[in-house]
Amino acid sequence: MEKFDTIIVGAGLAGLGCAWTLAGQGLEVLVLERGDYPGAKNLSGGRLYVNPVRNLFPGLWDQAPLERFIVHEGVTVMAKERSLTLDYAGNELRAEPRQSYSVLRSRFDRWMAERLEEKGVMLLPKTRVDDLIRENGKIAGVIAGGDDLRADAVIACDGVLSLLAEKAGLHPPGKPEDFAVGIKEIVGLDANVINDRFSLDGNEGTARLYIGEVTKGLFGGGFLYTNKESLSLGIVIGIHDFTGKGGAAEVPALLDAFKSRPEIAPLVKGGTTLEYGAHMIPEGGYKGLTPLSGAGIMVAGDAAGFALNMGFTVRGMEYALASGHFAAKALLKAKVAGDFSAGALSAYRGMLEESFVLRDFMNFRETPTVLSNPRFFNHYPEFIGNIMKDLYEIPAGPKERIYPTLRKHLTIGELWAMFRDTKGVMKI
Amino acid sequence: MLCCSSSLVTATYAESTPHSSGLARLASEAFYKVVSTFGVSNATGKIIGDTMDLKAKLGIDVFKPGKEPHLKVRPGMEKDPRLKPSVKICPAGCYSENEKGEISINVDGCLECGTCRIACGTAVLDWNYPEGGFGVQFRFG
Repeated sequence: MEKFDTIIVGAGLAGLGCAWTLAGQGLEVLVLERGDYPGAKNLSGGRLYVNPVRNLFPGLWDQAPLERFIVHEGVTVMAKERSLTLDYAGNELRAEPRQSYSVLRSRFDRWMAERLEEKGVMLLPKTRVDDLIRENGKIAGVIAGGDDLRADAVIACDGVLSLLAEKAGLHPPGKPEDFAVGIKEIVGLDANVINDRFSLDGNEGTARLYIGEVTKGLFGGGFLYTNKESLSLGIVIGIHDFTGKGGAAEVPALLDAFKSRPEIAPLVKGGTTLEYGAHMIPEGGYKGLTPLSGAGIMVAGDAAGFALNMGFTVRGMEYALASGHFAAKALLKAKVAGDFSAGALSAYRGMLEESFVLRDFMNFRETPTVLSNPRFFNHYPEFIGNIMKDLYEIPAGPKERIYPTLRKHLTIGELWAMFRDTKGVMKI
Repeated sequence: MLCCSSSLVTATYAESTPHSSGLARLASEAFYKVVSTFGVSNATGKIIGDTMDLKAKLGIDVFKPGKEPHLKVRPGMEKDPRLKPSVKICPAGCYSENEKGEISINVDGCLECGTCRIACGTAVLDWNYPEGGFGVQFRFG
């Protein structure tokens, strides 16, 4: 019976990144994807940072269907009745090579898969993996569509729910504290209208994050990315926060409320909703990572928990590509030695530890805890909003000086609470 | 007629979504662009100004329903308190609660995000992805 060198489950960025690195290395590689085409089951915010992965995938970036390169980084703190926006623009963001691009995953993944097929990688869409094959204490293949498919190692790139790693006994079902759900709309808008509304030139783009009333004070936030001819607009809500506090509103209604905000409505006016989608996001950080390998199995991408909320930005796609790349490297090493045991495949983790992937996760390991401070979501937005309101208000009578205006808000009690919150902030 | 064209759009797009044919994809993308420019309304959804209700939004997505629902409440668990968060948290509104406090699922429009599996757990849900080639197929992502 035919045996593959490896079966990669999932043709998202981790699976495709893995196959890319294996292509042309003389191995029998099979990629299985349950969607009609790679990208059919994938959703991102989203934006991809290229610097960490540019050299891992030479030749990928020249023709890749990326959307706009991001030159404006925005943060909006939203209170119930008001908001404050910071917009950062730097000349370095306009320089080549570009730092990050907005992406539409269905296009990107599908294109990358087509390049892989040109390189001779076998990819089967419409194929769901139902179980793993275990032999002699190691993973020896998968069962898909009623067929047994054997391989020296299975690389589980099956997404955020990580069902295969769960079946392999690497981790129990996920906990609400370690995940958030993102829901978004793609709103079609003419490219020139986007350029006018967001002060962009040519193919420049903007990325904006929103915090506060977007999620009614619960963990999470809103996002907006400009694509070539559409906007990606959505919100992210921590699952545990929502179930624990018996969230007041329904999740879909929160997105509608966000879209109706006076800050947002004019930006999407006249646009056409082209797609509505939802996807979960790993939020557990370093502590939430799954075990990365076992006998005959490695786990990459969202399936391993490789998404990171850094506070000022959220990252995942470059970790997916990179972890797929390193899983491929570890597989090549194991093939040379003919050893696919747990010990041999643990080289994968070693490579990740030396790369930006696990270094980032270790550096930012306190971020999930610090960011789960509810004051960032339910107190500071109102606090900041009220200060700005008083500053900008010109009353009918005389206007108070700036310092007494600020001092009204910055009471001893408030300063003390801010000090306690700041101590946590030093860890992110 | 509008609702017919909505299902026609989705059927056409799903059928012609190519694995290898670039020309077919160009054709269906062009077709979709025409339809989305002129606006589409699902029979059961409403477009109110620039906002759409949830059914209308889901009506725009491409779904290929399987023969069986891919996701079920485990028998006897319909009133389990662990299942309660599903009603508000599902981004597609697939879960509903009747007067007797029993929760049921309609998998039409399921976006396969898995939020319910994480929020409620596998003790109350028999959770699976749809079989290969079925369920939602994102065109933008």
